[in-house]
Amino acid sequence: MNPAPPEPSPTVYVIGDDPAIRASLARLLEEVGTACVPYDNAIDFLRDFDADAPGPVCLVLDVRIPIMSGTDFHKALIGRGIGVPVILISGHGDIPMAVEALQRGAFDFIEKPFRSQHLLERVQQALDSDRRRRHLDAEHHSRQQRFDRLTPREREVLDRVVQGMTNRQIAEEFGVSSQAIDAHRTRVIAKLGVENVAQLIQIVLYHRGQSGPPAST
Amino acid sequence: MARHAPRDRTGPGTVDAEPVAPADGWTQHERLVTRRVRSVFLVLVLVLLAVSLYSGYRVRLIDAEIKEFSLRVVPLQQLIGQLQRSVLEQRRIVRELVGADPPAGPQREAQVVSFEEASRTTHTQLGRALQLSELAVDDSPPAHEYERVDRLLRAFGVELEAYERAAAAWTAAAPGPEVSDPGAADALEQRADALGRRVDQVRLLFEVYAKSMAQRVEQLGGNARWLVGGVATGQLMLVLLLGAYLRYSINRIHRRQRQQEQRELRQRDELAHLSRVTTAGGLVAGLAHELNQPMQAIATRADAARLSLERHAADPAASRDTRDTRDPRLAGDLDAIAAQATRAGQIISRLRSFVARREPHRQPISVNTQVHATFALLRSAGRLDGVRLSARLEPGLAPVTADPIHLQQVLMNLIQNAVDAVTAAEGPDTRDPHVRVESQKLDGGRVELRVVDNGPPMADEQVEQIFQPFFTTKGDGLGVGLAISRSLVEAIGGTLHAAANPDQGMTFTVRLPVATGYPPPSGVASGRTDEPASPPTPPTAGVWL
Repeated sequence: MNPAPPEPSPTVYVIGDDPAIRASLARLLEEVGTACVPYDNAIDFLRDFDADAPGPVCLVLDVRIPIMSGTDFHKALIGRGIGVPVILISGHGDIPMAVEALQRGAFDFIEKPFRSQHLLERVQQALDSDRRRRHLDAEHHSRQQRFDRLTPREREVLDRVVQGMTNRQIAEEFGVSSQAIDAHRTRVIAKLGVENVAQLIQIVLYHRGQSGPPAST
Repeated sequence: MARHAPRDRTGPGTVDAEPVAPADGWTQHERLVTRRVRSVFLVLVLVLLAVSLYSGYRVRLIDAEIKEFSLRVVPLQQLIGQLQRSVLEQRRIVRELVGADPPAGPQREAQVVSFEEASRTTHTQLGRALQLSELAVDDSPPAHEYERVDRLLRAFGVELEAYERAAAAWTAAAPGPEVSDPGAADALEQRADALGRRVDQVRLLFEVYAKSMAQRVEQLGGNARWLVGGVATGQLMLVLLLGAYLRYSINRIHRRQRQQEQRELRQRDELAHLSRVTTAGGLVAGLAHELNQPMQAIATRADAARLSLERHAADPAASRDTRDTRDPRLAGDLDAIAAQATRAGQIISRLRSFVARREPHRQPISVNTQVHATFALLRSAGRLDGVRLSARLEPGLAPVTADPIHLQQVLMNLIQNAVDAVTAAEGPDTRDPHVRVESQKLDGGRVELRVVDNGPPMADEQVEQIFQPFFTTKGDGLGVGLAISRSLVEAIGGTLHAAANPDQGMTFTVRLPVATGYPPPSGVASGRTDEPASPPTPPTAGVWL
């Protein structure tokens, strides 16, 4: 949790109409050393929010907020592909509303009145989740970049390597020498930054699985 | 007797279907008292009526007797006087003829003729007197004096006949101028004396009789006066009694009306309260949420403060060094906690004062203040559902005399009604649902409040219907809100009307009289004296949304 490299400090955005609630949440989060940026409406937040900014982020969203309701805003976030974990707070939440929010991908749905400890825990968990998400996103992004560097021939060779074909079989198929295939293979391993074929297979499978977890078992 | 009437009506076999049932608002006791008063009054009226009738009858009898006295007794008295005079005349002639120096020749002849005339007159007068006395004897049972008069008159008649006979004998026996038969002349003179005495007797007796009759008439007149007085007194008493009874009944009716009015007033207040409770029921969910906000803020602040203290307690060095930097934040927490606790208290007290059952207390209040209070209640209840609520209030309005909660209730009903109307209008027209409350000074010492919405307009025939109790187009609510509002407004001398706007939506207009003692806004410049001929606010007929 405390990586040596200077990790960007986490930020919690609090959006809600009640200034007293906003101020008290900001005070609480600051007390535990988390930066907090309050907004009194969703439009301002969407205008200011930079999804590419570094650092884990989490949103604490009061369902009853001016202009755009909390659930509408959550929908809008999802629509824009902003994958920030969202903790919904509601004063008069009902079960259907909570279920809908969670199905739509909310991190949590907390009903007022709530204990501060509970909120802090959930905020920490949300920040961790965002941290992981960012990490994975970054990994995914770098892998994607590496894949993008492969030439078409190298990809064909990679496909067949993953399918378990030997250099000779691949060479036969393409009608080239197995040395050539071996050279391709070495370049692929170098470009994708892996050390051996086993890792190569792992990373390709993960890449194809897209959203699945890395087969690190 | 009157008390038995209802029991007779119900009969022995029927179920007494009206044991109490004071549908007209009379209590059993009042009814009983009324019935007793009515029967006493009836008896008194009957007694007085009988007395009046009897007295009138007696007075008429006396009148008849007095009339008879003047019709019979007075002529009889005159006749007797004349009779006396003609008898004296006869006696004078007889004395002259039989005297020491009797006239002779034609003188004597003339005397004899006048004697005969006097004799005839006497005779006629006696006949008329007898006729009168007979009539009087016939129809006047109480006049026993009459009988004595009659008897004397008859005796007098007998005497007169004897005298006439003697006179006839005398004139027949002595036709000549010379004096003849002094014996006959003596006899005639004696008879004439006797006749004169009789006439005197009759006259004396009759005078006594007339005097007693006059006394009687006087007495009768006195009785009649008494009786007339009695009748008049009775009638006066009757009139007074009638007046008293009328006054009593009118008082009763007034008292009953007052009671009825008070009962209606109480019922209206109770209905208003019930309606407020219903409205508040709709607000409670929102208010509970609203109450959660300060509660949550308090809890979070308290936790933050505790965390802060714990952190510093775990690090005594830091505690010492940072005491000064830590304090302002803790003080801020405490301030915020206090402010939020006050806020929660205000939410509760707003609701409580709106719902509390209490006697209405009218006082001079500002309509604008009540508009703001209603807005606060509605906003804190979160009942606006995204409807824009705005106010355009004229500053410096004169106060109106009203119960603040009642005015809030009226505003709440009208605004809630408008909010429901604009939110119910789902469809292409739902952009910018808006409710605006306006206040304005009117001429003639009145203040106007308008609640304007841009929802769907209402058909004219529906507009008056919405003020009927239990008319509702909504699923929730009693449908008494607008009816109550109108009765609350009318109770303080105001009016409440609704009308569709020319373009869209409805306007509900409340007009209230300015509290007494405050100058009517028209004419006299109120407040801004330095603006000469400030243009009067134009009627905002065209200034809709």
